[in-house]
Amino acid sequence: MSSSADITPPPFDRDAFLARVLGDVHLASAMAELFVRECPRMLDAVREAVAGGDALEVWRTAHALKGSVANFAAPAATAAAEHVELLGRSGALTDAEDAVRTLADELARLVPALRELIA
Amino acid sequence: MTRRYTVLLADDDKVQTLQLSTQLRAKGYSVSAAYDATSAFMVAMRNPPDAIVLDVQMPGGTGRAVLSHVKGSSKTMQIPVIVLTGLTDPDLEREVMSLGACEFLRKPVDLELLDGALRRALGIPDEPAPTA
Repeated sequence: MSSSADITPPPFDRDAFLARVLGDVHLASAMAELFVRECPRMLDAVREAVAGGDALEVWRTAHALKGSVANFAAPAATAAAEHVELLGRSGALTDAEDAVRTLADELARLVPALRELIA
Repeated sequence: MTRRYTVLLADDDKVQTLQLSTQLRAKGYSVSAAYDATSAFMVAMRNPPDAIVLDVQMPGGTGRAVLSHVKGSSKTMQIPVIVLTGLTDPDLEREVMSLGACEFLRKPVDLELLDGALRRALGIPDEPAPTA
């Protein structure tokens, strides 16, 4: 039996995102398409920076990904990217691989949801 | 707007740039985009826009450097620069304003906020409210 606590929130707030683009579904579709295309490259850049132990690059690449994700009113993915960003900024990369896994999991929820917006 | 103002969007966030360029064009602006600091400065020097909307965190050098170069060149120093950022540094606003930025906005930014900043920067009067 499931309880309300088991309900996972949607990966992005569709209404908030559409409000941000003033209800322009064509623009929403184009933004989603662009992000879906760019996302793997951006995530790879974060992973490579973590694997290379380059804290400054972890900060920079995670910050870029956070900015892109934030456009879609996607709080969980944005928070996951921000966590990686802060690890990079602090230079403490010990937990960065776990944080990137969490980020990848959130993006794996977000991307299919955004695909549904693509016309 | 009686004339078509040119705006350079300098931001490595292609998704936000797509959003803002589409929306600003619909408002009557002519928009160009640069996705890194070097390109932003080159575009500003080659074909100075009426205003620059600048992210402070970009590859190829920081937006701060672009702002300093723009404000340090006689060819571009008059161009108003609106700074956008997703960074949370509390001192950043003071820093970029001291470098010559005219407005400071936090990401993600919505159209009305940015249009208002551009209008103030360019001296464009507010559009009259639609009447019934």
